[in-house]
Amino acid sequence: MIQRVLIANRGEIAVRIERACREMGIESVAVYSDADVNALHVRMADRAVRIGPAPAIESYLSVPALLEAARHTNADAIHPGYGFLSERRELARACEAAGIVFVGPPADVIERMGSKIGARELMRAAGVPIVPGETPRDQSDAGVLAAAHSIGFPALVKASAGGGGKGMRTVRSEAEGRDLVPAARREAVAAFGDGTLYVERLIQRPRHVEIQVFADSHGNVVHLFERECSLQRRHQKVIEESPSMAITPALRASMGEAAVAAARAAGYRNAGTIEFLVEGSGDHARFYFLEMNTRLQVEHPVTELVTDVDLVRAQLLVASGERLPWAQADLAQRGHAIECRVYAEDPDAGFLPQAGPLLVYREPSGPGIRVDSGVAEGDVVGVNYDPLLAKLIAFGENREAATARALAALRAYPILGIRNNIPFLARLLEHPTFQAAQVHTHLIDEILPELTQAADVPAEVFAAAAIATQTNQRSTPSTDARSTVDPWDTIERWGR
Amino acid sequence: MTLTLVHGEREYKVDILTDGLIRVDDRTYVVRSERDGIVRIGGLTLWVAATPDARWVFLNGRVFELSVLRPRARRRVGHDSSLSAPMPATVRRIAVAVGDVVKAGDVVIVLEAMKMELPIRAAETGTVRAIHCVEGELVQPAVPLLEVAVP
Repeated sequence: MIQRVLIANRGEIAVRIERACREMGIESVAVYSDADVNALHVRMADRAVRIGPAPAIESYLSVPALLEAARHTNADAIHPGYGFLSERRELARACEAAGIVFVGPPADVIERMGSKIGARELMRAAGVPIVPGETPRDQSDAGVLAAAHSIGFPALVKASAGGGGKGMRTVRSEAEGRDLVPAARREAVAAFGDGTLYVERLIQRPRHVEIQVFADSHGNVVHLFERECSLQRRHQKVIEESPSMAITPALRASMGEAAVAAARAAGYRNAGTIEFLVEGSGDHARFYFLEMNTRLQVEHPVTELVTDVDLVRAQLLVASGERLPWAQADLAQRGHAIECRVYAEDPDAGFLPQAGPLLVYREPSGPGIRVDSGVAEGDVVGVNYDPLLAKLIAFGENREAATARALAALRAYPILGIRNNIPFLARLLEHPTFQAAQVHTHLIDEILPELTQAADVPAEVFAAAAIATQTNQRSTPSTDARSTVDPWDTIERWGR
Repeated sequence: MTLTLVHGEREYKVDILTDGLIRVDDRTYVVRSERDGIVRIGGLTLWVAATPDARWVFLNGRVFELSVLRPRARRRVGHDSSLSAPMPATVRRIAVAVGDVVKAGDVVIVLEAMKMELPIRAAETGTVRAIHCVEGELVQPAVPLLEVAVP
């Protein structure tokens, strides 16, 4: 069994993995850049190691720095979390070379599934349906545009190396493409260092539904049902839920089988996700393989809540060489879970990431409420990394109950001092289209004006604001100069 | 004591009568300030935070950002509208030149930060009067990048 895990990540996911380690009696080692010296994931870990300056490329994306930190702390495993190096074969390969367990699939599987072209070919061979598209051999702007033309407009142009919506553009006409193809390429180069573009048919009003899979090193592969991830802005997920209201039992069964077949074809190990686009609804809806995420997903908690399993615990068990703790027949979906991603961003200004102090940050709690967060009150949110602050996950016996719990929790989740998307999330859950489960990937764009319109200010808000002034004038500690004592600050720690 | 708070385009006058009694729009509210920024008014719970010139208030899933009006901060007619970066970013492209006429909403500069392109749009219609950045430059927030003379 793994004894000590170095977590090559930050924020809420590092904290989540630290929790699982603690429960399993495994020591956790956090890593941090100069921007994260006082971050929650550093305070929560058993040990912490500095790995470099603030820019991710010199810290969280530095394989040598992470390997050195692992050697220095005698960690016998590295958990990559999501993002950063989680889907880069270099870290997995370096771990294999150094005799350190990588909590994830083998390096060659990451490589195989990381190539959109290779993954598609593999899926085609395994009989998994795929969306029509190609990586044009002629990678000039004109060549990419010609490929879009032959596939048909509207087409989706995206970074061959990437994900997360970076370097992705919807091209509706040849004229539009003349500006958008170079823009996509610039973003692709900036984000991934590789400007190769991929073109595919845009499925109109699709749902984005993904299947959680899990494989061990003993030949067992299971799926843990679907997550509905259709609610996105700028191609990034905002709300995820399980089950998907668009998926019938028959469709669920065939998607689950396809996902297991995909994982087997990939030679997969550990937790992974097969993303599908779903067109239409009912038993005759069609689904297409989009890509495989060879890592733990941001939205893994919704699966944990409806299947009653701990995916991170299972990751650590499987990475230790143990068998999967469950067979397919042990797994069932019950109730409904909804995850809301809480971002430091301004929905009124194109979801621009925000930086600033968390003057007030209070998490809601109660039956069926889970908050996975990477911050605490008094922290200062910087601009160096992803603006995800936390995830609020609500569970209920059905979708209506889960929605009601999520909404009540959002209404009791004050974050002040930095603009954030809590009001936007509350409006989204209040929206009749969401409540009717009529979600698709363009819904947020379509109803955006309704989600961001200025609210009337109740008189009580002014009265409360005036009181804040009074408090300050009496020179009692003001909220912006909060002088909480963090016990960790007073303890001399080793390994830093 | 009277305090002027600004939300959007509107100004609101709030009278602080005495401890816990506050008048807004001819109605008086009993305001109980509890610890850690929690305020109770009638059956409502609000959270508040203050900075030297702003107030943040959370009520029922909504966040209100109010600024405290300083006596001399008055709007002029015929002014310069200055645009700045919302966060540290690199100037990827400057889409206009000095003397160009821009409409409110036109993209004038494209920044790049966190590997995303961020278009900066003219806030008001006018003529580009000055450009204070060059392509490729790393710019800091709140530093003017471009000024538009608004008639």
